[in-house]
Amino acid sequence: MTPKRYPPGDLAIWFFILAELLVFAVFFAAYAFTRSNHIELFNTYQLTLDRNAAVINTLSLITASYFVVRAVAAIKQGQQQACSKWLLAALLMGLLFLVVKSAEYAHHYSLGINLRTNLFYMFYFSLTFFHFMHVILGMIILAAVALKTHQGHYTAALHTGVETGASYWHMVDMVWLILFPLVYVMR
Amino acid sequence: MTMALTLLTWQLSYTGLSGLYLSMLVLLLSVLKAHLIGDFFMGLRTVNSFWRWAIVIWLTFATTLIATAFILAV
Repeated sequence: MTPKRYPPGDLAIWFFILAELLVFAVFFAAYAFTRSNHIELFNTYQLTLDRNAAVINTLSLITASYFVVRAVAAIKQGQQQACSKWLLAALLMGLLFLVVKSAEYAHHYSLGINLRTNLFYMFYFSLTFFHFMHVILGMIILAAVALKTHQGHYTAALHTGVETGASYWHMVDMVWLILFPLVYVMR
Repeated sequence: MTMALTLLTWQLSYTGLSGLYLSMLVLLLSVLKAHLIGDFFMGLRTVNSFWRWAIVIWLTFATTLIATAFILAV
């Protein structure tokens, strides 16, 4: 395959993606370095997190990303309805993520745990909620792309919008793949 | 592949093991997964420019910071 010079989608989204990735990197570093001064605290309260919920969330985001890949493949072949159906499937996986994450938050809240509880929970809530908001934004973008695809605005010859939305979504997935082990597993 | 690596990470978390080596293994698995997302899902494998390397550099930068923090904590 001939190497391409530019990544898929609008180049502007890639500047945005890089900016977001930098912010998350700083956030991850802040967590890791703060942890180094409070190891016992972080180790203790990390065990209170629901790893099963987190792995369901990881699998749902990876599955959603896969569906998005299928959507892009479909529109490249001019299959508009197939593309929008794959995007809808991705949105359902995104919704699963939001529901599971919200259930986790509700459980913590019911136990009286919040941002002010301790340093670990401050990082846990702020990191995961920051990511949660990015998932919501990603879903809004995918929903808009799915609607425009369904209305016939994207075609085999003209589908930059689909690739742009897809690129943003994959970034959201990529960030979670670092966040999940960092916050839930590494000790 | 990313699903399998995720399930492996999940299972490692239940072994009861802890420590620097396990954490580094888990971090390495996550780097691998993220790299696969970048190369295959984002389509960067066929991009021969700064943009492919930008993601690789980000992954290296972020995980080096994390690894450094975990090593210093030992």
